[in-house]
Amino acid sequence: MLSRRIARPTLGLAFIAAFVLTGATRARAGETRLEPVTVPLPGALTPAPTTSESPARRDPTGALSVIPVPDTLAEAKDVSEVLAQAPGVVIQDVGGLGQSKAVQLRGASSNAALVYLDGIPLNGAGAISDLSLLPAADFERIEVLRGGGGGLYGSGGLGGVVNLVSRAPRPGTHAWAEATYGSFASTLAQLGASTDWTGGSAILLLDGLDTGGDFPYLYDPLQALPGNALDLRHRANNDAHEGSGFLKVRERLGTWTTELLVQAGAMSRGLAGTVDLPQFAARQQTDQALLGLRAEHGFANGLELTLRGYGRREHDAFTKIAYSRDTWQVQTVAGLAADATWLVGGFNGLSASLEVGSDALRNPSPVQPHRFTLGALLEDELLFFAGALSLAPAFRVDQVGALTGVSPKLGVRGTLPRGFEVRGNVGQAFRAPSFLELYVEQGQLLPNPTLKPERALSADLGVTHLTRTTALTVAGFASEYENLIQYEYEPPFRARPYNFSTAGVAGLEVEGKWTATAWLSVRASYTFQRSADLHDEPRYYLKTLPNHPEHRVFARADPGVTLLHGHAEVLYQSAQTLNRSASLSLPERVFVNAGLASEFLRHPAVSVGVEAKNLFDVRAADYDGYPLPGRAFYATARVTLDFPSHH
Amino acid sequence: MLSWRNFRIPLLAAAVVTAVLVSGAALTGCPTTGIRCSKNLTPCSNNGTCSDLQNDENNCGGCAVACPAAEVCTKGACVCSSGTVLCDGKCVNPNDPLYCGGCPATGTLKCTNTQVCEAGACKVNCEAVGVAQCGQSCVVLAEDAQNCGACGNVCGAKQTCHAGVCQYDVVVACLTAGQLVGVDDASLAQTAGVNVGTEPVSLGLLANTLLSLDGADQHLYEAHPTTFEQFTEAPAVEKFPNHLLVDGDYVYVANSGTSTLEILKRNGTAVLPTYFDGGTPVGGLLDGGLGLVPVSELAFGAFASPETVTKVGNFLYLPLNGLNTVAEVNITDPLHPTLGRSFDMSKVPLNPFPGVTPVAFPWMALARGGQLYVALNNLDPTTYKPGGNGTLGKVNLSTGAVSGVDLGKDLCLNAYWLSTSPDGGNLYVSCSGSTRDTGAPNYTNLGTTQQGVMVLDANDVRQGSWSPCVASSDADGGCHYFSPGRFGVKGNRLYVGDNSFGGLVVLDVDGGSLSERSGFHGGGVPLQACPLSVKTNNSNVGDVLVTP
Repeated sequence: MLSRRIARPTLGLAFIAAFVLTGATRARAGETRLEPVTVPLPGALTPAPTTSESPARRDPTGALSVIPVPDTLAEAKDVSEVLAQAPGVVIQDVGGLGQSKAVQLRGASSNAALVYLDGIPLNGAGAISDLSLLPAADFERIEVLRGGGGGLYGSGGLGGVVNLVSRAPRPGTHAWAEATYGSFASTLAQLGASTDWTGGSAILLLDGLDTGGDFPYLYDPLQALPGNALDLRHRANNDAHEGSGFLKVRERLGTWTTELLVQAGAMSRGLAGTVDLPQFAARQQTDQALLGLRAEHGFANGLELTLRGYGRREHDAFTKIAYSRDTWQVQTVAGLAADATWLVGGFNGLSASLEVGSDALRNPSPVQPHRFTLGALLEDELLFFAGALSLAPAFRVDQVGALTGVSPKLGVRGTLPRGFEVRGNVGQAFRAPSFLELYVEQGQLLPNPTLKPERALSADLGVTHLTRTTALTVAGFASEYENLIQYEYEPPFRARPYNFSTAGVAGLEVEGKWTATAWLSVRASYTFQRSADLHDEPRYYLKTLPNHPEHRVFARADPGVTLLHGHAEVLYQSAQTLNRSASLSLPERVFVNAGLASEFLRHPAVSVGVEAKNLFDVRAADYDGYPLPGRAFYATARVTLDFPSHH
Repeated sequence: MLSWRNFRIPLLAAAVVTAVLVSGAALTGCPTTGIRCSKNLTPCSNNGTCSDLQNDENNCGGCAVACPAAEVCTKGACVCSSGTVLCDGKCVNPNDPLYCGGCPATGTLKCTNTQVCEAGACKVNCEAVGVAQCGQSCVVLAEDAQNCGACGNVCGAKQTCHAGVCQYDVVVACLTAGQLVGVDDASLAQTAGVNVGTEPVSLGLLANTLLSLDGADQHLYEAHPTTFEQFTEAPAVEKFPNHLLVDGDYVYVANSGTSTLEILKRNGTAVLPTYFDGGTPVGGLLDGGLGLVPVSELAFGAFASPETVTKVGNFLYLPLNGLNTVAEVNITDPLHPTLGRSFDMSKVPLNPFPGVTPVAFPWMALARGGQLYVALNNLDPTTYKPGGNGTLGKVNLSTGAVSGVDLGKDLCLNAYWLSTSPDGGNLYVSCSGSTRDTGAPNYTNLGTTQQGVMVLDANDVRQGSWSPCVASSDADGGCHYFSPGRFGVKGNRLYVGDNSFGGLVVLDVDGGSLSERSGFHGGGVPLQACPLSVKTNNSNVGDVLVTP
């Protein structure tokens, strides 16, 4: 009875496993250069150099997966499709390109996963980040840190952290154009340019997405009657139109290495609603802009100092939603941070971070909430036996408005003979309630200013085996979440959020990679997670949490060479319950994707590709019964111009 | 070579940070786990149940404190059950020849060994028509709780005998708590709640089997009428089922989420359960059920949101809350229901408040004298707060003409539920009122105003009313936190459920006037029929079923 076991609050004794395909260690703390980030080759087992706040450096013993984003042809259409490849991840998808997608890590709710773009937070404290707003083509890899390491990033990382690493300039000067056209009247395009100069480099990306979005799905108009004919309906008002730009400039200024990052975008999409209550006119308009500055300097005594500043503003407007007034909100997040690392005596990698920030929300209600945030992090990585064993204690304290959160963590990593490595972690994280939960009336949803932070205790333990061509990790984890915030009915017609739930999630994560030959590589991940309501009324007690499928499998094969290569993916997700009494559920599903691409010209590089998503036209639904698209085809063409380098 | 000097700094740092780590974890502690009971329930055992120490015969006033036989637990104390009297410290049946008509003098017996006890008198034989002799007692098997349906079949605590079947006079569905509660009409004693499903929203009786429509689980549960033990059969219903109507072998369900009318039929070959022993049903059907299966369905289209269903002749009438209409459905052949007329509630004069353009939002319909009365929420569509006077729609079922009944604004805003007196002369209306809060930033609930129950005569003229507002009760208008919702009618008595704190107000009707049998006036408090949520301190009565 796993559910009984996880009911016991003995996380300190829980056996957990964590593991990472990649092996950045704190020993790298002494590096003093901010190197260009390069796209890891398929099959690469080690990551490119990382920044001071990247998961590989901030949590050197943590359970980290690094998912490369192919840059040859646009296979994945948004970040969530890439993220879904990692273990411990569940994507909540309302269906269709450009439609809302949120991420769950290790069973924590979607507002308890922090999402960063090159270290810049994309969600304000306690709020959800919509992954559909980010074109996957802008990123070279996605880092997924699961478990207690999320606490090292401050409020909100109960389940972990997702760090999106943007593409970096390549040596030389290049320009490229890529266009994809496919099902549901979908067009995606990217124009890009990259160049470098003495002491600096820059990359500019312009992305566009336009999709009609309407796709057919099967609807049962008489759900109570078995065997009746299903209606073939069209998902209407599911269109999306997005445009974004991204600029990254790196420059060496004296002994400092600096980086400027600017990203801005606008989006308009239909909100199709549920199948039972379709919305034919509801829309969302979003525009957002992000600015990041970074400066890094290495001192002669080994101290490395990174100064960061960032600001992000997002404006969302919602119109013509049934049973709701038109509304809008503006979220603003800004912050300054200083990270210092210092390798002492060759055995002791000390790190400290200090972050100050501001988080604000403007909206039509009488309350315009604003709060300051302050976070201080102290970490150490102690290396023993020539680095074969490391111990990484960390302690972070945050002040989020009037709320204080403490996030301690202890990790251990040991290198064993014959390519084995063991990692283990225990830690605590918290999530301060969001502004909407605390202060903002949203129609019939009332706020609750008395809410306390949610808290997570996490532990994991895993073993990794690495060879020249393979990597395999098996890890177990257990997390308990308490004071979870849920909206409860408030008579006679409204609802209000309360802290009341305690939930437990435990399971197994497996991740592997095999580079069989120069023309074949295989990657796969498997997640088993058992969730339970651990503190509730008898009707809910020990019931499986809604939207927590027990099994997820991802497998992908990449056969071929540059001239002609293909890929095939399988994504399986088991059934998931839909309500707290576990009386309703969505069935399991299997999606198969496959594609073929060829780079048939080198100068200029020209490649074309075709891809089929959901090849077998499986009709499935997600989240609260939102239908997912059936079979879809896409064709992509890409031209890259390379100019001679002068450096 | 490694030496202590090499390890000194890291070990010192490790010790410091680990100490901080351990102290941090110790300060925050482990999460609380385990069963959590509703606010007025107590976990008496570790078997996953919560006990109502006020009303549970096995845990009366304290855990494991059991009441003797023939006694019931009320307000945490064991007392004689309704229909018994206290003699020499024992609760006895006044139909027992030993206590015929009351307690005998010490050392004496009321009746001799050859006599029977009938209506409190010792006689040679049972004399009244329709009376059966059980031992030395003369009883009406259809009504006697000590011999219900058969001699020696004793009804359980707080149950009465209805046509020879032990049942509760009133069953309350506690939506928020996920429980059913029985209430004895004579004593107003209530049972401890029994968990049935997750959110029971509407109740019915079919073949003496309790039907509980569950809004969260999307099932129509079938249960024993007194133990509330569920059959394994639980037909599926659809999203947000809101109301059921039992008629013959058919059950009609209004699914507001999928906007459908679902019709279920009892399988004629299924063996009906009987409940003569007051406990386990004869026939052992607890593994089965009534054989209810969905046989037909009618879709009204997205956003129609049918909320309730009522039947007049061969027609059903369903208020379509989202379309501001009432749909007529022909069920001459229930296997093939067809849409009939549609009555537009936007034609009803809504008597708006200044500056508001309210929408009718029909909720419940009931026929009386050839007219269909429709409870209209009459809300401001931008705030979903009352936007005009309490209003009923009124449809002439012969002509289809639509008119309205103005209930005023003093105590009947947001009309919610309707019923009639047994003779149809009076129309009873419950009104939820207007909820108030402090506004930003806390939006603290300030309770409800302009709520109550109204009695309309045959000419739709107000004859009487009841309000929970008591001028001296609190400083904010005197209105208690009571939001009248669904109610049941038993003779001249109304059982009114509360959508705020799980209360049950009992009103007696005398002509057209209403008086409290259990309520707020005179410093009283209504029955706390449903447990309060430990999370929100609220509770919602889903439905009130009066057993015929």
